[in-house]
Amino acid sequence: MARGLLLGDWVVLAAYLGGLAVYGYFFKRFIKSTEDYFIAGRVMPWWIVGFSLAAIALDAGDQQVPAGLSYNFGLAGLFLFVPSCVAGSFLLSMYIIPSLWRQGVITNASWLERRYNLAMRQWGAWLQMLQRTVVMSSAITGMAFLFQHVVGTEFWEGVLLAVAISGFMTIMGGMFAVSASEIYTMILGIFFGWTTLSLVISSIGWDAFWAKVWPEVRFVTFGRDIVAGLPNWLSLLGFFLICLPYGIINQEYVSKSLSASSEWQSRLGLMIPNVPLWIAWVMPFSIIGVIGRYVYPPGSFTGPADQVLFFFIRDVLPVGLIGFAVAAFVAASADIGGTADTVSSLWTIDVYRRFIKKGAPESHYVKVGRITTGIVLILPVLWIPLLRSFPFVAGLYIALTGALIGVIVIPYIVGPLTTFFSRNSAIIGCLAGAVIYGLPISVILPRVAPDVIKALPAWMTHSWYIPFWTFSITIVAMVIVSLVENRIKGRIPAEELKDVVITKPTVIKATAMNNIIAHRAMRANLIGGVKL
Amino acid sequence: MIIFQAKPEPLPLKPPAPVPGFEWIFLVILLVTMGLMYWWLYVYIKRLVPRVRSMTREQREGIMKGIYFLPEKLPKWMNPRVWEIAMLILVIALLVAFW
Repeated sequence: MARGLLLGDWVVLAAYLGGLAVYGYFFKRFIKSTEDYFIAGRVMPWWIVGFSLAAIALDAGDQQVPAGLSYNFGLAGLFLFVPSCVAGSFLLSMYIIPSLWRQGVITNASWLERRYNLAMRQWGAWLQMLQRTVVMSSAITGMAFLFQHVVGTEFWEGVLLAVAISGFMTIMGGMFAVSASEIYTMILGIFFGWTTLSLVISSIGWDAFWAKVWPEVRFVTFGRDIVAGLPNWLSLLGFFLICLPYGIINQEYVSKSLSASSEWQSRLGLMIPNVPLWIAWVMPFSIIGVIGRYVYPPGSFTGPADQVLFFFIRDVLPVGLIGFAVAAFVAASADIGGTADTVSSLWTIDVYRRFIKKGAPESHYVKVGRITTGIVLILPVLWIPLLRSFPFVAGLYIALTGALIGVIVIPYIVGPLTTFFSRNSAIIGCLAGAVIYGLPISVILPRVAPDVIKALPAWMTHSWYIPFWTFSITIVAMVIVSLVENRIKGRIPAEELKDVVITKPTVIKATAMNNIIAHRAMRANLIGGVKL
Repeated sequence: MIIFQAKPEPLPLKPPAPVPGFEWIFLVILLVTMGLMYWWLYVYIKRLVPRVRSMTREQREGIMKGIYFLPEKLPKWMNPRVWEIAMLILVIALLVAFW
């Protein structure tokens, strides 16, 4: 039963969102042109880049997903972010971002064409668009649950409201999406998480928490199996592989990394603020999920377990904080629009400009991008009925990533390391992983021949274990194809892959021109130096 | 997909008694912290703007293209590789602590 918003809630909600709007208005005065905005974005120091990175990576959906996963799998739900997504940040920082940076690409799919071929770029772009729409649908579902359980709307009214609000926030993008504002959003998100957790623990009593719940706040050694009959550490390893691609094949995340003033700032931003912030923000929601299993046990409600977060908001938070919770979700919904922008940029740059209309003025592509963003905001709604049939909202993401999308991460990981992997190896490897194993086991057989799937052991068919096979098949196929192609055509000349293959990522040599600019800029304290 | 092996004994939920007027106290805290944070960022960005405006065309183009270099004379702790290792240790420590 919904609680509804009281006067104090509405006042706090209006104050927070109004404050964001006023803040955006004042900052907009500094931005006279899109170039100003872009360049201002590129002179931001590493700590602002890092805060922005964390803020865009952790949207409305990322507050409920850890709760839903931890409800089912103990603290393993936190594994979505720590350390698998964090491992993605490491790989990005260590050598993937340097490789992308030096190519001057705007989308990460474009890099696939530089390193491999056009087919791989298209495969990467389309599957990323698919994945992003699923991520958007998770965030929209989260907001719809919030409106349903806290404000008192019906679920589908909540969906419409969520789409309308995120559409509004996207249109008002310039007003709200000032990168510096993300710092405050981030801090309030962390405050909201830990405050809600402390109120939840106070509500069940600290003694009960330490005695009953604390033993469950573990990654591996808690009182049940993540997958029946198989060791938890192995399930965790599968979870790690499923979540590893989240940061790497996330165009939104990569584009933010590429908007730092230098490669060095970008790498520093990825590490110092980004990683601890992820942990600080996501951990309380994971612990809330573990507690939720005791307060709202399985069977006491229908639908995805992610709802426990909203049950707690409804049942535990005082007047004022509830309004703040709603405001925090509404503010974070700007990120749904940001994700729509990402899908739009992949479509516009990697498909439309590449195939449909080449050489048009930049303003034309901007217009196409805006129209696409509007259409893209509607697409995630189509996923929602399927998404609600899973025991937790992230289930669809995990199933799709394990079966089809996750393998794209392999070409990104191995491509910048060596010239050994040939042009055609990536697309053949990814297709092999998805077609030979991922799709048949995850999608086709469960519908065509469910008995066959039931007869197979869990380590072959469970979502947690499918990535072991798809990733292995992909890498083996890439090696075989490369061996054959290198034998026939010879290895790709090192000159062709100059600055694409990063053999020593810590030794960064600037080109002559960039070196001059960089040093002049440093002298003027403009970019790159510690003074910013 | 999920097999619930143990149905936990439900814990009763007893939210703390509401503090009278909490929402107004919270509103004041929110407005004050928001004001301070925004003011600080406003001053910071305001100082940055003249620097951006005074850039030469060459410098602007350089930034648009993306400049890459390892700044010289920086303290060792500002090296991204140092932080990669530090964060790796943090994550491993977290994993071990909550194993």
